[in-house]
Amino acid sequence: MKKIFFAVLVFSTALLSAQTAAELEDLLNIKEITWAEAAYFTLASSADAVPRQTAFQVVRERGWLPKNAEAEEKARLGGLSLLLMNSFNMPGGLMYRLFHNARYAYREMKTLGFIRGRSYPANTVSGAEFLQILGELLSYTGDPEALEAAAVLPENGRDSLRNNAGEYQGLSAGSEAVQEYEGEFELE
Amino acid sequence: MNLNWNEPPRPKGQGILLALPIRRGSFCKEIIEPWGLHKNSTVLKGRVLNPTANKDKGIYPHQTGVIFLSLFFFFTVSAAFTQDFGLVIRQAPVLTGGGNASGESSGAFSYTGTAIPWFAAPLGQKADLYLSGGISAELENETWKPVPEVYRFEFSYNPNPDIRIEAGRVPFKESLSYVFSGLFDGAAARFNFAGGRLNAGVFYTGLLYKKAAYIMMGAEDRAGYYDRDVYFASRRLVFGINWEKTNVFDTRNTLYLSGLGQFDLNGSDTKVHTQYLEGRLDIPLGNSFNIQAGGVFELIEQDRKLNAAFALSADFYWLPPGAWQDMLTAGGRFSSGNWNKFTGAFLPITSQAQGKVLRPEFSGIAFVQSDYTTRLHETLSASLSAAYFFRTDETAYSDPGMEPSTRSPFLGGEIYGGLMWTPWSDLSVSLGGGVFFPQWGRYFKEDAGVKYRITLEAVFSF
Repeated sequence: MKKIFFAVLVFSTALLSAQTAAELEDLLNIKEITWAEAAYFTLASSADAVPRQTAFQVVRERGWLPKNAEAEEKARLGGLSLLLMNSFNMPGGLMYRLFHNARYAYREMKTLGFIRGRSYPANTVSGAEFLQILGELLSYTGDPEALEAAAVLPENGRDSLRNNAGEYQGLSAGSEAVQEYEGEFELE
Repeated sequence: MNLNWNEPPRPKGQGILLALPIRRGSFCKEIIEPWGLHKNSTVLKGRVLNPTANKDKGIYPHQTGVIFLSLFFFFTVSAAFTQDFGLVIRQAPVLTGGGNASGESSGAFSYTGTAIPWFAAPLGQKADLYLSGGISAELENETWKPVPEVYRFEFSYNPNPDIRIEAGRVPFKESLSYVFSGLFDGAAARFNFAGGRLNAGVFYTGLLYKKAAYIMMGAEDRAGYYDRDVYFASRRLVFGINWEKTNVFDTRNTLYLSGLGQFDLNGSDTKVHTQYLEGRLDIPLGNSFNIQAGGVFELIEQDRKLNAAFALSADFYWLPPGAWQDMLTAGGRFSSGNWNKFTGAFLPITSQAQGKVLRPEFSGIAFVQSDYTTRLHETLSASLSAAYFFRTDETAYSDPGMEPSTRSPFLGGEIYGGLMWTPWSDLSVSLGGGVFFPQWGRYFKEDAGVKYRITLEAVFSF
């Protein structure tokens, strides 16, 4: 929930001129987002905002989507990972660098802990889930000092952000294997 | 995607060496039954727990090829139905030695190469299947040994976000993780309620690979463990229940309580049954400090005699301020020894080597240790640890290098350093090395040499 809140805050800042709270609320209520919606909100959150009507075409031309994705089709978690990795310019693991496909983008997002719990690359994604993943990603890629200066986060949020920013820089590696064992879970 | 079932954060600074359960698991009933190699079959009887009987008819290693083919076939077929899959490759050479009197040379080189394919698939909206298994090639005493194993092999069912039921070869541990920890065959259920979590399970250990289970509760367990022709672990029925309560008494403290027990199902005359009551309290002090303290009380029933045993532990953690979260750990553990007719040596179900060079089992042993982990670079971390060991009685711990007349509790100390390099998220390489100094204690012979241990591990996951 904290991550969703964070994503909404960042969204609100990034989209102040073009986006309304109603649109964010709509996103939270979407049960299965489409590629077009994913493209629009992803570009907006990565400070690369384009009009809603052209967002899908833009990311498609940039090669950030799976080849068979269509604007009004439901977005899948694997392809969505590819979109997010591309738009946030995430370097990824060795296999992602070699193949640059949805499978290894998904594994990277899972390894980094952005995608949690019961999930598969073929899953559809709700608006709330999309925002949660985006929140994790923004925590990872965000600039804590800039956010502090903007007083976007409460005090403990800054610590959390700082910790996250450091935590995922490298020590967590090989963690797909770790996660395999850890398959163990924690309840909220 | 169910966001209520979060995976736990990865342990800070903990390398694959510590976290990867490469050795967890063993043959699975589902895999060996079609080949007539079920544990109750004639072929297997007398092999698992009676290592001296009928050696040339054992399943292991003669049937390894059949087992490997069955694993390969199973996973090939399974792959067609899965929605997620991967492969983990691990290479781990280890060099150990020393400890002998001056002038004598000793050393042992072992190498383990493991390939672990894994598959996962949803079964409807609320259930999942997860399969992982593989084969290791172990080089020990200049002999290669293939070891096929089933690792996590789990069917799980989540009827609602607060309940999860698992069956198969599933992970289980108690809060202190030194009585019963690993992957086990059986069933477990986890519940969320009233600000707490309840986790209970029943397991059987007789189908696990012996080195994965590492059960050393009696002489017969040890005989089987060190017999190269024995594959399976000691046969025991284990039950456990864990309860976790966060924010106890409106503080940030977390309380864990566990009850465990095991019944010896081996056919020997010297059965060992044990029961455990365990508690642990985590006390965070501000944002940077944490204290973790706990203890276990144990009842041991052996040869119609009842003994009590116990173990205690306390650890202090400090996360110095900084972007990359260094960590200092200091603490100690104490396990009871054979003191009198009422108090016996603490006996965990699954043993765990303590320390990094001497690696005694946690029975009749006490030690203090400290560890500092830091990150030198975005992709490189380093750790340095030191420990000093004591024995808490004169019988529980033994070593070929001991001074026969000694009654000293001071075993000696060790220093260990490690580097972990993670150039990419799917590749990690760990190098560690350490030395145990027997001269720092009075247990070993005066001319005993230092013991050493060097490990290198590479894990690639794709």
